[in-house]
Amino acid sequence: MAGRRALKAVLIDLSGTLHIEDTAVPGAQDALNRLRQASVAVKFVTNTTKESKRILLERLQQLNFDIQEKEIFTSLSAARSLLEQKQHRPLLLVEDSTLEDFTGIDTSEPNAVVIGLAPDHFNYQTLNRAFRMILDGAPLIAIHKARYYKRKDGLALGPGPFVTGLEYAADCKATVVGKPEKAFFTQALSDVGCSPSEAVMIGDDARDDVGGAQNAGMLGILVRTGKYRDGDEKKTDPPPYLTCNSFPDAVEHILQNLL
Amino acid sequence: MGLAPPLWVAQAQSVHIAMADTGWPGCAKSLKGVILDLCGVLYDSGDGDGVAIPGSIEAVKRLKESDLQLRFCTNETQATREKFVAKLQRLGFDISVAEVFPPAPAAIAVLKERGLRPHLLVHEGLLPEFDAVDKTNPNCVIIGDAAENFSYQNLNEAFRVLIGLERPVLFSLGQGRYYKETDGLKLDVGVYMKALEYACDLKAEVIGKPSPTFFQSVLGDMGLKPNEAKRRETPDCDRRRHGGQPGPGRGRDPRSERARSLRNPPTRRRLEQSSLCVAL
Repeated sequence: MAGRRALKAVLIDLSGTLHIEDTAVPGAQDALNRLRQASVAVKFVTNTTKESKRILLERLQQLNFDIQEKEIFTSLSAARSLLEQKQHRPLLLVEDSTLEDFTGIDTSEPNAVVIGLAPDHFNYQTLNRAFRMILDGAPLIAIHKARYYKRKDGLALGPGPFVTGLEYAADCKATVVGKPEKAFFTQALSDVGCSPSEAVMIGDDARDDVGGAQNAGMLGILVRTGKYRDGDEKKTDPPPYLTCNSFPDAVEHILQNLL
Repeated sequence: MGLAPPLWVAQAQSVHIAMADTGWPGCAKSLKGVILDLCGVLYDSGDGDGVAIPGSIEAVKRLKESDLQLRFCTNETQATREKFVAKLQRLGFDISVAEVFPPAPAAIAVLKERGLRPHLLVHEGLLPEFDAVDKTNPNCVIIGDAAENFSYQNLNEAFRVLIGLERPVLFSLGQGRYYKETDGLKLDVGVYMKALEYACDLKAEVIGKPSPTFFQSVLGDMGLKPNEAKRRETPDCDRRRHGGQPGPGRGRDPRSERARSLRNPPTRRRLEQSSLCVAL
């Protein structure tokens, strides 16, 4: 590790890394406890846009993970900050269950389009409506651009394909606030008080977790759970610092090699 | 040439064709055939059958009376060839199925050639075109302008077929961004093509305009080389962003295109940038 400063923070993806829907990755709870005994800050970063922070927290606590709400940083949090900053009134194409994270934001006469993971809204009529707004000048904000995610019944389209389609239709570029944007990672680290070179990211998405983190100056560890598919480690340049079977293996490596 | 209204080049998308003669009279002398787009050129879509563009019925009649070969190409994928030719005949056009080239028959020829079995994500009205096609155990996906059929569930199904293939193949019948109907702008097949391309990290094969292979198949049917045919079409809606009203049908108002072309006769470079097959 010559040239790198000592590790101060570990960012951990949630869905696909610590758990898959309502099932914890085997050994993940113990691994997290061991990590907490080391002198590193731990933050949970997620592009999950189907659930509010409160719901995420409840699920993780029910699965016996030792987690506090303030340790969770989501792309919804990042989107909300942007809306407040620019004073946009959004058409929120997000799951109903996440609307509580936008409480207090004015959504009357929307002049911006916010797209999250919302299968119920990705129908022809709603996308036409969003498209017409964008043609009329509404900015397109993407909570993230994940290509797909893993559900119990198999892989399913994420918001990325629909954002890409609208960008093509309206000849515009979306502002993406979630992973793998650099700003997402630096914002996640900002209240930990360390620089990216002092942090490592663990996740199951080669491009969004590992690629994004490494692009921001962090180390990236790819785990072979969740949406991981054979050969994903070849999809980032540079390749992941480490590819391992699951979160407990990633933690072992960190404890033995990076502290 | 004895044709009225005169045919000219409309700027569209990019197939690079070299030109040796920039003057219109020169071009016209070596013409042997004409390919006409349908929507936005012969008729405007809308309620019911739509409306024939004034003068177009007579113009087609005159073309047929000349010694020029005539074919029609279109990216129409909401109905079978038989159905929309019947519509054009009801509007008064002298047109037959054998003269019309939409993407679906071209796609079926490609499937046959390459031994492919499609999963279809197309408009209900187009399904009969594929009745004789083996759709079991699909090893490719075809998307058309499916309109209401572009539900999340249907797109997910198409995505799952592609992501499960060792060598995923996606055919898109056209790549348009949007078009105008009476109740407003609607997203076109190209948008969903891009969505699946992004999801699966692949590149779709476009069947239909502006694919050169598509035009070549029309020329092949006419027995002509690219330098012997001229095409007239309306460009896709690719410049409307802010302000202005998009024209009827699929693209800008052909009447304003016409006026613009008359004021600015096509230069060599502009013609090279168009997807027309131009007389040399």
